[in-house]
Amino acid sequence: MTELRKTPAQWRSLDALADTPEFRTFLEREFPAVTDLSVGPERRNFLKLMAASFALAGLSGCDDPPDGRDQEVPYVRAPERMEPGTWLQYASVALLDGFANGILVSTRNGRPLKIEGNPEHPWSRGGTDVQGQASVLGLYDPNRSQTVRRLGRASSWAAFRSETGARFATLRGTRGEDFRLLTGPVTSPLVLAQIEAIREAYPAMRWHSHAAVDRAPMYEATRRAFGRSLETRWRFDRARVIVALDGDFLDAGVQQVGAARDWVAARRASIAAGGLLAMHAAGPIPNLTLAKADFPVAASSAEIATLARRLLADLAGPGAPPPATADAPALDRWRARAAAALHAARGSSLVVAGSTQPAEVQEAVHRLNFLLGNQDHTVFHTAPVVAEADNLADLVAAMRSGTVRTLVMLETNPAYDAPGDLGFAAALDRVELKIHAGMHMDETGLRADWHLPLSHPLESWGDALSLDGTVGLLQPTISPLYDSRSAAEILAWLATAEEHAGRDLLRNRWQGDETDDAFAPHFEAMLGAGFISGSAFPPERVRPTPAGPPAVAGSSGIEVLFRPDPSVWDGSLADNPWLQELPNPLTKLVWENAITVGPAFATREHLVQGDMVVLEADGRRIEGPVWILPGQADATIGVTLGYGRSVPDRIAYGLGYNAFSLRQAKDPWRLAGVSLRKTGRTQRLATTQDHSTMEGHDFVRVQPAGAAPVGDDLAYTQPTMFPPGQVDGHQDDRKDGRGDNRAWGMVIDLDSCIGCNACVTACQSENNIAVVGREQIELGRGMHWLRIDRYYEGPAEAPKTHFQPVPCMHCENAPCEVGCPVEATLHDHEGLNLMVYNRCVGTRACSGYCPYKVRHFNYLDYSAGAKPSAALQRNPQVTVRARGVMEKCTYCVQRIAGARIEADKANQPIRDGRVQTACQGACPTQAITFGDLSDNTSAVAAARKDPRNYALLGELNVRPRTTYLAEMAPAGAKTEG
Amino acid sequence: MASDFALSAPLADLPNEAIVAPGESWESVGREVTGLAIDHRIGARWWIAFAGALALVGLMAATTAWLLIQGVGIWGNNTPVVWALDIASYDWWIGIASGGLVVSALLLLVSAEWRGALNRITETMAVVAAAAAGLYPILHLGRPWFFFWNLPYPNTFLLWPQVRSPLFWDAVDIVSFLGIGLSFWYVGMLPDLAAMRDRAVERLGDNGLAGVPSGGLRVLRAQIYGIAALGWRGSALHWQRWSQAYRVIALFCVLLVVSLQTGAAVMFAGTVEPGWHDTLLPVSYLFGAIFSGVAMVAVLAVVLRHVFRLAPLVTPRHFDLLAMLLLGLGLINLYCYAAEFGTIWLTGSGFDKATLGRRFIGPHAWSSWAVIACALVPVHLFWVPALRRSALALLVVGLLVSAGMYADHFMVIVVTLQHDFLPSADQAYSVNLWEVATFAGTIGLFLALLLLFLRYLPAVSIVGLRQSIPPGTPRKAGSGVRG
Repeated sequence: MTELRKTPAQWRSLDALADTPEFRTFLEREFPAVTDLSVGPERRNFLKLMAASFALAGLSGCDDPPDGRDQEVPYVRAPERMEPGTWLQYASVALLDGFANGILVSTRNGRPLKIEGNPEHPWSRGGTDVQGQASVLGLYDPNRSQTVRRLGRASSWAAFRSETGARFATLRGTRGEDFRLLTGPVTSPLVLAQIEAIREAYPAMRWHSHAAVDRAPMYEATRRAFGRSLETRWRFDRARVIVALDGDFLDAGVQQVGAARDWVAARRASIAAGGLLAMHAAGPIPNLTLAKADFPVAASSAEIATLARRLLADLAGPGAPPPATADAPALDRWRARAAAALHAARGSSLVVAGSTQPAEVQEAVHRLNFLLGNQDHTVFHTAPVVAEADNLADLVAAMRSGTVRTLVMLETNPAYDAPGDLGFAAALDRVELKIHAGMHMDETGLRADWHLPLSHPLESWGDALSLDGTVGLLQPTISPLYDSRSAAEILAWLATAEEHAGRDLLRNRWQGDETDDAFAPHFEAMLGAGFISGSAFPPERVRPTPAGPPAVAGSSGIEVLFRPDPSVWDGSLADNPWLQELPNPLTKLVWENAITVGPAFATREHLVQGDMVVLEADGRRIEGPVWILPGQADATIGVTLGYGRSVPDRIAYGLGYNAFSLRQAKDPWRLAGVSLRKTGRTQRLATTQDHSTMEGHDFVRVQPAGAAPVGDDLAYTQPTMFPPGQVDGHQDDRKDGRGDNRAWGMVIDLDSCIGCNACVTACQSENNIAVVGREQIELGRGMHWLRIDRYYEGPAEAPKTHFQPVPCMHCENAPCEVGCPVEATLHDHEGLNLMVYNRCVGTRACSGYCPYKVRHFNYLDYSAGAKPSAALQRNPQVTVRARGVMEKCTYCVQRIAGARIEADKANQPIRDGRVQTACQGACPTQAITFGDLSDNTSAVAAARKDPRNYALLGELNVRPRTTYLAEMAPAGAKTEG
Repeated sequence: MASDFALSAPLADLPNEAIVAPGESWESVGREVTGLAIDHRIGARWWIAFAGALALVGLMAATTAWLLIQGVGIWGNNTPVVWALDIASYDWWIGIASGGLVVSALLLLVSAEWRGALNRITETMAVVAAAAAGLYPILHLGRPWFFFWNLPYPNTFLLWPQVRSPLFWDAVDIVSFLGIGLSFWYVGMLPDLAAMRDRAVERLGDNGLAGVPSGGLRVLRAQIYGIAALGWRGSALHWQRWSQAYRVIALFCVLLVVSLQTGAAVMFAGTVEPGWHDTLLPVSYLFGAIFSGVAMVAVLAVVLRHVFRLAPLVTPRHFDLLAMLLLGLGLINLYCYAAEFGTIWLTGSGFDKATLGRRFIGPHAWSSWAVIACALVPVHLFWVPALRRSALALLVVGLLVSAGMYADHFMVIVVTLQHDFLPSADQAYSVNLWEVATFAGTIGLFLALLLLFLRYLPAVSIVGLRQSIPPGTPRKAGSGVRG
């Protein structure tokens, strides 16, 4: 080396000229790659190498790399409206069982990242549910079906078309004899049009529809009461009292978003008018509707049927119903009270029956409403939203008899969720050609000859109806991640043997008689709005049919009642980790389902929490852990659907029990004659809340209508050594509403909160909150920034249930900030309690010091566990937290910052309502108000002045910025707690 | 010279009894103590103890490595119980360190001459316990590699620690403790190191003796002791300055310990949490620390007396004094608990009362009952004089008190955290093996360092012992310290 070293002719520095050891060290440190060159034969070789590199680089451009990179075209002209790094929203709809809720899909750089409610949508009016919120993660689900499969092996659409094309051609010749189509519930006019087209091509084809959560009993009830299938809709705003018989209008389901909003609006209006739209509810298994009732009572399924008949009898005459004696059973007292209330409000009362109630009870409720004069005032009916098709039982019978040779199963998973007594899987083996299309390679897909990957609603064109009949339009917010097709596209191929683009199909469906040019702007406008305005179904005139003979009373023994899971629904969403880790609103269980029993039943059967029990009927059995649910009716066992999945390598695999195996096709929501046996084993249940009483404190305050206000401002009037008004002082130096004098605050109306969890999932989606898994939850390390505390009050047999969402309180005197030695949590000038993640060393003192325990610590590297595709969902505006770092609710600081930047640019104040936190935006009942407290005209400042306003743990003098509005109770109810 | 150190001797009024074994002279104690460190005649016992300690250090190395790879999630801590064995162990270790240091320093300041046989063990224990304690504030962090953000140092962020945080002052206290504690220990040892040097020099000529290292190592040994002795020649001026420095540092030690223990208490008392938000807590912490420190001294005195064969130097008279000290401290601690309970009972909020109730009937009630059963009750055995002089009784009670004080820290931390205000936030916490392994590892570290120090350094203060030799004992020249 020494002999090669020459004094260079050109030099860049004195050091380089001297070629000192220091310079070499520097070079090595700064440019490790050229060190070798610099000691080598210098410039000539360096240039040779460089020239070769350039030449080869040019050559590599001629390659045809298999990754499709050669297809990439940079934005020569940027797509319209697409601005990198900014949010762009598309109107669309979220689907649950084929029903639509209006949504706005927030996309960034071409990726859908967050679901917001669509405030314009006439049914959902800005509200969302957990399933809608979580659907964005479903798009990126790494377990989604990604390719066509032939007998489980990867294949292609071309292979599918060529191999099955001949068969369908033959079928056309035979008019589609022994060809059957099985779908999930269909509300989509587009899909219906394709099915019509298929029927034209194969006139003898029969179409069956199957849903695990079926509306058949509801249609059956209206057929009995009014002679045809109808949807039942409620006008809570015209009601003065609500009586719910196992009502579930506030619970997860296709009605939740719209009905909860209607209910809460009516309730708020009644409170504003000085009264209270009280709800009397009887139910066998506590649900959100029973929890929000002012007069809840437990009643078994048989008792509910009796109640419906007795109420009909009580109110048949014009006179007041008979009162109950004080020592009558609780149920009788409840009935007498409810009957009296209904009588007093004849014509503007409302009786609702749960969707899982048998047709007889629902029919009785229809007749009761008619009798009370409520029909067409507080209750009305519309045409059914779900298209009618043959049922699954007929299909299975045909399959068994061997008359089905070709079966196409679309968006349905009967091998898992068909009632156990049908024996669907066994019957399926007798079908010659089984084609399954779904978003997952599920139990049915595994048994099919062909599995076709379906597109996610966020990547397909389509339409769907809401419960009110409003047509919602789906538009893709991203091109399909995999080579998948939408249901309509697959059906169109079946009908015509040609590929059709989803957009064309949708356009053709709605174009009508208009010319292409005339329709184009209409179509644009429809897609822009996300729905077709004025398309809601009009009320139907109905006349009751003569009442049939009274139904025979139900059995009085132990009954198993089936319910959909409030998070994973019927199991179709079971692979969504957000939904798995979302605590059940009442049991707070995660990652599994339990067998719920009432407290008295548990005592009698010597059952304790976590006992493994076997339920057996007709040789079919399930085994699961017991959960004692306060307020559950005696002799009632509750099981939930959606668990016990059997497809390996999925997150849902092996979780919980499969209740479908116990289910029967007839009367699917209940099962009598079940034996319960203890196995002697116990299982630890993963729950996020172990303690359910308020321990004598008033964490949730209750305001009886007309009584003295229970709210107070004690939190802000504690004795202090500091001059008053340090925060309120903002108002004094507030000049033009601009600048650094904002004071962000939140008010949560506990009366409006129905405990549905939509806010929790929205928060998780917005803030990149990690899913930690069952084991970590068991250790007590859940990461949800927003939790909903559930408290019981009163006896375990008939408790009053309270919900209380608890985000960070953003205390003005924040105790956490005192604890942190490195100032990683501190206040900003707008009163936000901030977390500086990259300054956090993880002493966890802040969490220890927090009286609300709303801080969550990354004990392990939770975020690193996400699959690469799931990580695509992350919000780039929110730091993904590493291990060893504390995190907590930020009031969605990224949204505040966005609004602040906008406002500063425009030199305008931030308009009230411009900043919506994720939880606030998701809430179907608008229970959360957020804004600038220093702005006297803001909604949040007004809410703070509500006499029901109080602070949680206000006496600690931490001056929380989040406050609550007390829950309402009917006049005269004693204030408890 | 002896009169210099017998300025006052409050304990000299106790029954007139020799503090060291009869027959010990100035020369004999010097020979015995330096002989331990020079000749290592203790053999197998030491090696067995050291091997055990090293095994535990290995366990700590493994758990620490896993901790750094995985994160503190390997422990059982969860979201309400963010601190558990980590901070309980830290508080316990630093309590022992503080207790040892303050007792040694106070006894020096009041010139209690009997401390001589125990002060080296006590101070070494304090320094080593502080080292064990000092690991936790780093290891328990979510991101331990940024532990130095907790200290004030000039940095390009222009960021300083948050001075309102008790955790920052705790870090300052620990650093101060290591500085002041080490100074106290080292300065107190100077004359003894000179004695070691002299003995090592004496041995330079010994050849062929079993167990004596080869020539080069002997020279090295003498040089090391010589350097460590800082040129101590035992002149009157040296003695005077030494005495002044030692006492000044002792005064600092007392102040430091008060500051550290009240500071550690303010980590809890400064919050609004029920069971923590208590003005008496700093006092309880201080006396709890002294209690656990003296208990640990008692345990170590008995054990090391056995391991290092110190029976002639550490006598039942010392045990008697330690036992009385424990009894007194036990009574003070009992008062602190009673005062806390009484205050909460009479004036506390519902949350405080509920927390107090959970301490006794909640899921971690064992900890409260352990405090009573181990820390508060057994010391009352020492009302019986015979038990005060029993090595076994002292060992057992010392161990019980140490365990009881550990339970106290666990109770204070975990019971409050698991269930403070909102019942909904309560999440069950249980100790897991990794936490126990980490704690066992710190015990190993403590023992290993202690055994090493006492092997190579004078295990008993020669100067101190000589102060305890009753007047009239013949003094012979050439016994180590030339004076």
